Amino acid sequence: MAADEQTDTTSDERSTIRVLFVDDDASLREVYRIRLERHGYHVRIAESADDAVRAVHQERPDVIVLDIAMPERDGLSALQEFLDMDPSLPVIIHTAYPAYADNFLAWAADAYVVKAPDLARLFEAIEKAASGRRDG
Amino acid sequence: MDSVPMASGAACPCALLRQIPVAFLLVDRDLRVMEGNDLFWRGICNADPPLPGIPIEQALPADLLDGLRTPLQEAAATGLPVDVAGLVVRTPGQPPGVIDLQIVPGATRDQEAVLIASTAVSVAGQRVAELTLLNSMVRVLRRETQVDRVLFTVLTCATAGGGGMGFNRAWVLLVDPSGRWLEGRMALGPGSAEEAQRIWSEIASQPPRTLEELATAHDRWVVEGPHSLEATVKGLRFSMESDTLRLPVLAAIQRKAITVHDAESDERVSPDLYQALGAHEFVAAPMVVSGEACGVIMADNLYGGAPITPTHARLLSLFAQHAGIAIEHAELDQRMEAQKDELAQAYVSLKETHQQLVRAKQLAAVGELSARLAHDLRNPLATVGGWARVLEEEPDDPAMVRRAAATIAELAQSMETILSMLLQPLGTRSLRLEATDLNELLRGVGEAEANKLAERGIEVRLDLAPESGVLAIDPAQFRRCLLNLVDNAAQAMPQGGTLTLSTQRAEGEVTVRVADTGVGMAEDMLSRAFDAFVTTRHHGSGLGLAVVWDIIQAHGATVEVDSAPDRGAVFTIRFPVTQGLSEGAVMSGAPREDTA
Repeated sequence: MAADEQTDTTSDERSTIRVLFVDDDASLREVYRIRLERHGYHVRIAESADDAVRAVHQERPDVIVLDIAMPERDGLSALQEFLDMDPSLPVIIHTAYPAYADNFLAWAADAYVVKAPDLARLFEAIEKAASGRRDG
Repeated sequence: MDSVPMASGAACPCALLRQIPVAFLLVDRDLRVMEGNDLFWRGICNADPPLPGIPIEQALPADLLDGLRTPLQEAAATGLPVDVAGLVVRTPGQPPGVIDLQIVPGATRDQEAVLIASTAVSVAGQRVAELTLLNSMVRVLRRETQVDRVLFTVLTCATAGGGGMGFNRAWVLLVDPSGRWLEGRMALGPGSAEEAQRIWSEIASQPPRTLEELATAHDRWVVEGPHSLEATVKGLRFSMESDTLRLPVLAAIQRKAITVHDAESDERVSPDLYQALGAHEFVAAPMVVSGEACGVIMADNLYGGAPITPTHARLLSLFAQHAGIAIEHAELDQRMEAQKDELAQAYVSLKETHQQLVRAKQLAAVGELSARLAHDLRNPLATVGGWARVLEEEPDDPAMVRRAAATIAELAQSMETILSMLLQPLGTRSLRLEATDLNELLRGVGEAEANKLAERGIEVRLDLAPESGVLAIDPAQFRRCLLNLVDNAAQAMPQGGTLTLSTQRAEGEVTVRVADTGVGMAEDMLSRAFDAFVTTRHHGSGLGLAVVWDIIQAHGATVEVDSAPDRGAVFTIRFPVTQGLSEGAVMSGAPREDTA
């Protein structure tokens, strides 16, 4: 594991974190799944907003990592639905488009992470969100 | 009528004859003055009686002389009386006189003589003379297009002795734009009796000048100064609402000329106006346009003292109508000029605004483009970077290495495509035309994409008309164009569907269609489908269809899209063709020349 991606949590703690990763880009989903699992998370994948909503209904994750720009239905509308379902559900917006942070809908998210090869910030956001959920 | 002493040595048959109420002049056969009465000399010639025996050339006003010359010759030649009707006689400082004359050849006791007699002026003759005068004044007036020039010409016509109405002074008042005030605007005439004398003697000593010449000599006539008539008139201001019983507003409201003979006691004249003008007698004629008075011309004979006759008042009244029209035309003209300027100004600022908008739009497009570019490149970069980290961690897992390498290579290619679309500016495309079998090209595209599309649940169908033939097109660019359309169709079918590539040959054209069964486009999107940077998708540069448009345009062909939400989309490309060689069609359009 690269030094810049180390976090304070132990891998035992991480293995208990269930992450729902939502993105429409297949090759991006694939590499993120590999890397998130290697970091120790329990990863579930969704290909679209609707897919993600179904997954949340089936099983509540600890954290949702949500892409915004997706065909058919975008992540912001899914975010709305997640929060309606469970206002304490941690959602991290994960996007290639920094300007979405200006959208007030995005303010409801727990964190806003811009897609990058270095996942340190994403890991940090996931753990912070998950610990808040566990503590709260 | 006062009796005037006879000039010495006069040989009048009867002194009583001079008292008859008919103006007469008796001349000998050499046209020298024999005898005339006071009515003739003072009434018609406005001069003292000359000594008998002097030639009439030296005794009569030029107008009268001109009018008499031919009739006198005629009378002498025939021995018969000759009538002269409506002769206009002008003298400085006097309104023009209109007279009828009768020329009677005959003899006194000792010599041949001619009697020139003027009875009362005939109405017809007077009208003819008035109309002639009016006509010449209106002609001069019509040449002016500026309000101030028109006003000056109006006043020149009113005051000029030669060709004008011969008033001593004249001035104009105009109704202001609000319609509430009648205000003094311009005056013409001597400021004093001395000045009047000076001007008249100057005029008399100079060759007669036409009305046109007088009307163009503005500076010579307008005497400015605190006591000038101009200054007095410019101080005049009357309410159109409360001064209605007094002149000049009264004339404007009644829309008829009013002559005042005793201003001091006339209750239609305010003491202020009387004091300002100093004239006992004056005339005020309204300038009426479309039933409304736009102003009033006033005139008097303060210095010469000639009476203002109904004839003079009528002439001024008729002239005032024309003056009103001329003023209105000039005002319209000036307003139009002003509006023209305003329009020109508006055009300039509109153009500036347009340029600013274009710049803003360009900047916005650049901003939108860079944001989209950042977005489009960040996704593959995150993936490529992710795989690189995976490789770093597990360089020995052959399956993982292969997977990473394949994805990295694929994404590098896709990023390359995004950049190449950007680097080929729209509208600068040049073509390498080749005889291309259209069906073969479509089949190639269909086969190449079929597998990839099948993975996404999309079935590719080909419906190729055998007679589509060979077209002169750039195969590489047209292929790019088809691939973009196929990609667009695939994006529109996230749940899978059918993609149909078809060709068709019809009268004068070959059509290529790319049809999908996808989500379709709303109406507002349809009209913008081929604009650069416009996309409904979250991925892609928004340039794909713009590039299609560009390539098709360069070929001299057309492309259109037909779609509705949830009804799929059909892109139709039409190549115009003429019936060509036996084996196929030849394009009749005009593709851009190959400059590559």
